[in-house]
Amino acid sequence: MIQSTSPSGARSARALALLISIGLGIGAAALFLQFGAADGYQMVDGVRAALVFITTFWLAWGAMQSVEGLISARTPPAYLNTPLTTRTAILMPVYNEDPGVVFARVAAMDVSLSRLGVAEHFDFAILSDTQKDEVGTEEERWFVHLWADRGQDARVASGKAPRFFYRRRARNIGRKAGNIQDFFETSGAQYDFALILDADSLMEGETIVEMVRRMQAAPELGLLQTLPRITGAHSRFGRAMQFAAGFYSPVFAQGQAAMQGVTGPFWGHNAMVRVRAFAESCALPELSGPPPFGGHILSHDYVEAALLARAGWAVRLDPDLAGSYEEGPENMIDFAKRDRRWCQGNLQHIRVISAPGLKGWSRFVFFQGILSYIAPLFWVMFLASNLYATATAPEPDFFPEPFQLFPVFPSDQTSKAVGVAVGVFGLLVFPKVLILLDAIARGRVTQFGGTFIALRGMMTELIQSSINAPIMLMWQTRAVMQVVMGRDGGWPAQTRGDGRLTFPEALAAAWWIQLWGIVVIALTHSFAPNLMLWVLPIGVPLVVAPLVVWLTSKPSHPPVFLTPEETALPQVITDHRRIVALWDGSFQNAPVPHAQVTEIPA
Amino acid sequence: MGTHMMMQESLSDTVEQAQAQTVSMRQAAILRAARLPDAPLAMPRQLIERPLAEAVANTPLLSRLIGSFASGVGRAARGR
Repeated sequence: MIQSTSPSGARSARALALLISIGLGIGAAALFLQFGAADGYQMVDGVRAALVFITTFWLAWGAMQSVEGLISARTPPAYLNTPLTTRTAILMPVYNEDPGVVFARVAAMDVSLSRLGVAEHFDFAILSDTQKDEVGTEEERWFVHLWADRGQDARVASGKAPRFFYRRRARNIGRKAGNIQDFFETSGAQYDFALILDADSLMEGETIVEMVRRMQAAPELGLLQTLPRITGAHSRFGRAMQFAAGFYSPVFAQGQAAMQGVTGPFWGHNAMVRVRAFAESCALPELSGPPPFGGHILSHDYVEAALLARAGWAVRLDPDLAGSYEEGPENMIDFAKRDRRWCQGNLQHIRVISAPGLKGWSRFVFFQGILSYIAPLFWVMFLASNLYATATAPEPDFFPEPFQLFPVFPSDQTSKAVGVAVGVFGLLVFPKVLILLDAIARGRVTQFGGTFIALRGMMTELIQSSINAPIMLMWQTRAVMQVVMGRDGGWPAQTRGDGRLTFPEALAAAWWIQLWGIVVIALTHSFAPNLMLWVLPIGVPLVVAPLVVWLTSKPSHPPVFLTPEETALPQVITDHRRIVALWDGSFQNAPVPHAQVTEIPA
Repeated sequence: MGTHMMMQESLSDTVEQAQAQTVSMRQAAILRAARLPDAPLAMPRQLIERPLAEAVANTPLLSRLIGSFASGVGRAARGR
C-alpha cells in the first residue's frame, strides 16, 4: 500500500527546499546588488535586488520540487487486490459541453469497469449545470442514448436500480463546487466514495478500482488525487504541453507529494473523496462582497483540500496511479482564457488564507498559488526598473576627490549580472536536464521514443516555451491587473476541439502584446541602448506575438513530443473513440435507440 | 390522384407524429427513472471568514497584519 511521507519526512523535505531556495535567492540578490551599486548605491538598486531575490527564490522553489521528486522516487507498489465492499458514485459535471463526446466518456469508463466485473459497485451521475437550453435538450437526447447503450432498460425491467443518473440544475449556484454539493445533499448518503471528474476526464477501470481499494485500506484518507496525463492534443502548443505534462510532471508531482505529506492537493477532478469526510468539511460559504474577491469561491478545489486537512482528514496525491487522463488547451488563447479564471481563483485565496484553523502547509499552498500569479508582475517590474536604472545611471566620476592626480575607474561588475542571468537560466533548464538523465537511467525514456526523440522533444519544448514565456507573462500580468481592478472574469465554458486559429484571430488576441513589444524595444533603444541585447529575448517574442500564437496552434505530428499514450493508446481512450464513432453513426439514423449495448471486446 | 397523395402525406404526418410522441414519452420515462437517488446527506456550511472581533482576539499579530492586508486588497478592489 502507498504510504504518504511521514510528518517528519515532509517537514525535512520542506525545510530543505525552503533553505536552498532562500539561499539561492539571497545569493542572486547579493550579486545583483554588487553589480547595480558599482556606480554608487541608489534606491532603485535595492528594489532590483529585492526583485531578483523574489524571482530567483520562486524559480529555485520550482526546481527544488523536481530535485525532491527525483530523490524521493521509488518503485511504485503493486496494486491491491482486496475485495470491493463499498459503493462509489462517479460524478461527471458538465457545463455547456458537447454531450455526445462527454457521455461517450461515461460509457467508456463503464465498459472498462464492466470488463473487470466490478461495475455493480459503481454508479454514474451526470451533473449538468448547462445554461443553454439547446445544449440541455441535446444532453437529454444523448442521455437516452447512453441509457440504452448501457442496457439500463433491461436492468430496470429485472427490478434492479439503474446505475446511470442525469440531473440538470436550473440555476448553477456555486458553479462546480455547488453542483457537487447539490449531489451530496441529494444522494450522498447512498455512497461511500465519490470520484469527481471533469467533462474531459477519462479514467481506466483498474485505476478507479485501485483508488477505491486504497480508500478502503486507509480510513483516515479523505481525498486521493491522481496525476492526470494530458492526451488527445493535436497542435504544436497542445502537444508541447502534453509532452511536458507526461515527461516532467510525474517528477514534480512526486516532489510535491514528498513535501506535502498528508496535506496534499485537490485539483478539482480525477480525484476520489470519502463522501462523509467531504460532506462534513467541504460545504463552502460565499465570501462577503462581490466578485472578483468576494462571492463564490472560484478555485474551490484548493480550499476543499485545506478544509479536509483542517478537519483532520488525510489528503494525498499518489503520482504512481496511472490511467488517469484529461485534455488540455490547444492554443495560447485558450490557455490564457483558462489562466484568467485560475488567476482570479488563486488571487481570491487572499481572502481564504487567514481562515481559522487551517494547517500551516495549507496556508503556504494558498500563498504559493497567489505568488505563482503575481510572479510575472515581479518580472515586469524587474525589466522596468532595469530600464529606469540604466537610463538614470550617473555619469562615471573619474575624479571623485578634488585635486586628484590619477583617474579612478569604476569597477566593472557586469560579470556578476551575467552570473545571475546564467543562474536563472540554469534554474529553468537544470530540472529538465536532471529529469531527462533520470528517465534515461531508469529506462522511462523508452516510453517517449528513446533518448534521441525525448531529447529532441525537450529541446523543442525548451525553445518553444522560451518564446511563449514573455507572451504568457503579458497575459498573466493583464489578468492580475484586471482582478486587482475588480473585473470579474465570469465562468466561460471550456473550448474543446483542435484549437487551430486563423491569423486574424491570433492578431485580434495578441495585437496589444505586439504593441507593448514595440514600446519596450523603442524605450530601450532610446534610454538604455546598452541593455538592448538583454531585452531582445523578451522584446522580439512580444513583437511577433500574433505570429507565435498562430503558428503554435497549427498541427504537430510525432515523433517530436511523442508520449507513451501516443505510442500505445490506452484502452479507455480506444474505447472512447470507438464509442464516439459508433454513436455518431447510429445517432444519425436512430435518435433514440431502444437497445444497442456497446460490446465489450475481450 | 391529388386526393390520394394528400391522404398519403397526411398518413405519413400522423405516423411521424405518433413516432415523435413515442420517442418523447420514452425520453421522459427514462429521465424520470434516471433521477438522482433520494439519499440526502447534510453538508454543514464551513467557517472561512470569522467576525473581526473574534479574529483580533485569537490571532497573533503577524497573522492579523497579513489578514488585514489581504482583506484590504479585496475592499480596495471592490470600491472601484
